[in-house]
Amino acid sequence: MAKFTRPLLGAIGLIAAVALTACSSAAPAPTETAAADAPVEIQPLVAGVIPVTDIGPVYMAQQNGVFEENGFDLTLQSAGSSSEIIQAMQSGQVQIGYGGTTGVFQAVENGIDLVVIAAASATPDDPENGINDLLVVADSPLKSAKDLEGKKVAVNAPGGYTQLLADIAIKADGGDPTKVEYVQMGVPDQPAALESGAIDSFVAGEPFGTLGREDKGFKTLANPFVELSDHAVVAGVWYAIRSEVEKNPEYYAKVAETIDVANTYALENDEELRESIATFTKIDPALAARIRLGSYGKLPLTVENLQPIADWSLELGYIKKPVDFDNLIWEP
Amino acid sequence: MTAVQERPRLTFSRTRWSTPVLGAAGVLAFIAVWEVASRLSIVNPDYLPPFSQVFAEVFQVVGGEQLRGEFWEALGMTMFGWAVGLALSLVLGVVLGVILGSNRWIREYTHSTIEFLRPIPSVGLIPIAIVIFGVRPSATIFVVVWACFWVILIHVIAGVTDVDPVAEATARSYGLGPLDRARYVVWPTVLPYLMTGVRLSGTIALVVAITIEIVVGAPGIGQMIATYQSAGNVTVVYALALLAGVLGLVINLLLRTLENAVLAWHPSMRSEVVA
Repeated sequence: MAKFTRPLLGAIGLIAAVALTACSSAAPAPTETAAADAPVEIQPLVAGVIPVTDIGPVYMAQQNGVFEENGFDLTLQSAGSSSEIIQAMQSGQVQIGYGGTTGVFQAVENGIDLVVIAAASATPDDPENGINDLLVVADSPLKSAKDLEGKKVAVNAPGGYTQLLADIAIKADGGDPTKVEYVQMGVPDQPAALESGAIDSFVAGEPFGTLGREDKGFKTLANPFVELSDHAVVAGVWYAIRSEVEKNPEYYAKVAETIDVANTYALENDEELRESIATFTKIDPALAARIRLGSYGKLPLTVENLQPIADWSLELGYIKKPVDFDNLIWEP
Repeated sequence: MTAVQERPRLTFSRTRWSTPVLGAAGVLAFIAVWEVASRLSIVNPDYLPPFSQVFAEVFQVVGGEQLRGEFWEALGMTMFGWAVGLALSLVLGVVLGVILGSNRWIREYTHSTIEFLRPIPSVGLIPIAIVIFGVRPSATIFVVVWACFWVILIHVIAGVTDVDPVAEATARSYGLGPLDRARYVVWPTVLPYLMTGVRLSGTIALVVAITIEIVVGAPGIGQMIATYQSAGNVTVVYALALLAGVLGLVINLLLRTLENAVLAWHPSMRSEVVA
């Protein structure tokens, strides 16, 4: 018996040891109590995020201790997509989530009772400097967005925000978006696919838009932001589940307020924001200093600032009914 | 003299050097193709950096100031999910496998259910795992257990079914009780099956764990790969992929060593040594 149980026991011991080591390294640092002169009660706050530049302001505020000062022990929990964040939220482990406005409209239409509590990002003031422009190779025969009919265009998520932007550009140029062949592809793979000719265009996402324009000589075919609205609009939002918000309005009011503080600070400290983005997203700092960013903290969360994307989403069939903003935007 | 004369009679493939030499040749050829393809821009070096560059980056990831902390923590998280997942599926698989395997009626009754559940791809369970556990290591563990449990269960059931009825009857007639029979008759028969199951599961668990981390963003090496990919840093991505490969090799090697040690008494192992 001993002959063959001993190695087994050894293996179990080994596994246990590995598990313990992993445990100790993964254990969260004990919550530091607030400074003695500020007896704030620290509440946990888990935010479901996607590792993109839009999280920069909140990450920076976390690093600067803004959330702690306001009584939150903030955890940024990365997820692959908005739907994963919403799933995690429904299980009660995540209190707020980040997402593009189109995705939030669609989720609400699909029966998930979400409310928007704060703006995460807005399109840039200068539409010519749009983040999500349609890029083509330097010697592309395509002349304008209309030429994309019958061509292959890569988007990271079919039926999502980037595809909406491409549709807007094509429609505004007199084309028929339904004639475009959209291909789902991870953003990092899109520049390679464009260069190899597998696709004819892609909707840029940073840092790949800047890398493509600077290193590969990709050029802008069309800039959807020019057509989207005559003013900047809120493009990314922080949302939560309505029942949770109504159960705990003071908590969520404080969360929204803290996010607004984070956004305002980001607006005034562009350089520090870009450093934070480099740390959070792992984009090379030299590159993060150059990439195109949305604007943060400039636009308040109002119906006017959300309306253009809602209108286009409805017109292009991304949603079936007009968005009920009185219900969607939560005000404490 | 005799030794020298005997050697040439063996073809190369039968000498004990064949495996390491051929293995090394394969690896070197792979590296050469990679390096040349990238250097000559047969594939775009922006998307596949030359091997030498990736190899240098491996050392930066493992020991460099900037990435070291992040890498070892990620490795710890991945190994945590791997180990706990594997251990849980081992316990569940052995207990249920022995119960199901030891009775013909139960076995036939559950057969269709097992065959129905077994092929469900573990990655398809990710949404359920997130709803139940959130984007956390426990979600990874859940899916790893799902993937490995069936492998171990099937092997244990096969092992229990394979018990020699003559040996079993002999043990009975010599008056051995159920516990003694389990120890001296059933256990030695099941063990080789179990060890095969464990060795297979060891690799499956790693693949599944890293896949989930990439797809879901649960903490670990997979998440690190996904993050650096979306940051446009391909060199780190390939360095991490290489390291994940090495990790798989190490795990397989350790489990094989364990298997050899546990089954040293078994005829299959003994004959291997003799040959």
